[in-house]
Amino acid sequence: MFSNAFRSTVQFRAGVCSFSTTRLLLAGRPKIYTKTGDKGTSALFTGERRPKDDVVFDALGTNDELSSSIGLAREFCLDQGDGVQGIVGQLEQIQCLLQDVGSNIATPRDSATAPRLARTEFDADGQHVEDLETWIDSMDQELPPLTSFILPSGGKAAAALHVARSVSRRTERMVVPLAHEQRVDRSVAIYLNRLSDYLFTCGRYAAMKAGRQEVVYKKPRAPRVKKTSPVPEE
Amino acid sequence: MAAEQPKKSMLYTRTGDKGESSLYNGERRLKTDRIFEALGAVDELNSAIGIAHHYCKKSANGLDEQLIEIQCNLQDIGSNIATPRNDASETQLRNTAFDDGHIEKLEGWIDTLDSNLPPLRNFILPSGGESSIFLHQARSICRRAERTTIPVVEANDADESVLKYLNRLSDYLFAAARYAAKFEGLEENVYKKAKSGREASIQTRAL
Repeated sequence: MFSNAFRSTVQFRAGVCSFSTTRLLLAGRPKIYTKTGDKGTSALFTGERRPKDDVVFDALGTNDELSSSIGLAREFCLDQGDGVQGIVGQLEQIQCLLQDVGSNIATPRDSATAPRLARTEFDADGQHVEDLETWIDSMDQELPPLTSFILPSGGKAAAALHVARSVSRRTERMVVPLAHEQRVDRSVAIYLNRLSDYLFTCGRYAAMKAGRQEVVYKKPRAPRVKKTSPVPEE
Repeated sequence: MAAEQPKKSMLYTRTGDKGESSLYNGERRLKTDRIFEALGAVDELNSAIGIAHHYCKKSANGLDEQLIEIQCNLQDIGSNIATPRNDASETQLRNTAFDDGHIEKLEGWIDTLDSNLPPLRNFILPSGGESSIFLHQARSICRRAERTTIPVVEANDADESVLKYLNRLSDYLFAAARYAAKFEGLEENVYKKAKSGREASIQTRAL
């Protein structure tokens, strides 16, 4: 059941040394540091090498940051326990999917071979996005309606979920231009868009389950500035 | 709180209000300049390592002193980036040189950590307890710091040793994250091809 995933990860190790969250060390224990990236280039899944400041690596790196942020949020949800166990399982599944998102981004849709494209296709039937929507709907039912802006707050788990949400937005911003140029599947951009909605809802849900009040936006009153001698405008 | 007005803080200089900041050589540039982009990312990295340090110390996994040394190195890396190599005085260049030796030291640490770790058989997900996760987060920010530093080094504004250090640092943080999980006896989650559809909805109902 695992062999397909395993085979493709092995190939990743051969093709991509440093693009993702993870590495695979095979028999003989090669060193983690390959030094091949010291000159500022890294390899895509297709074997092509590009400078690390290429937009593809920006997108991959941000996706990686997102998975790390979700790992953190998941940990705090584990700590919180009561009422958010469902979220813990979902977040783990999302982390796996982000790995697949990474494979899609690392395989330029406009230049990879057909088998590679097929192997790294993401959410062709829209099922993963639908899952997110189902999860959102189910949590939303329990939540009080939003009547004002809320601030990232509501306990550690909720706050960490908001951080993940904002990183998800940044990932989406990096991916959208690539999707426009058809270098990444559009489904990836759609998934990331829905993911930030999901994380927002999770943030509210976790706060509610923790019995914590979410901090609501209030217009801060600026103190009245004493008029002193006018400063000449530059 | 005392009723009288507190002394004006030295913290805010207001000199940056127009969107510029100055480099170590005195030159002023727009805050959107790639040098500040790189400096900012290195700073974020330093903050992320600060959190990781907090949790590592709490778990007494022995990584805390290495992390502090790394934080100091990142300070030096900041100085290197803030001093354009092709437009600074010799004293400034000397004061802000970044020694290759730090990279070798990192490699030594990685080798030691790695020799204590079981070989990786699959992709792992950022997981494995607070220390481990914060180290993973630092790792992913480290990658961004590296990406933003590349154009600066290419323009000859920072030393190549800085880039090498950042590249090796993400490897170190990866090994350290795995080590922190193992130290606490916590399991790392592995990548599994996600299931979609019916199974997922069952999970939702349990929520």
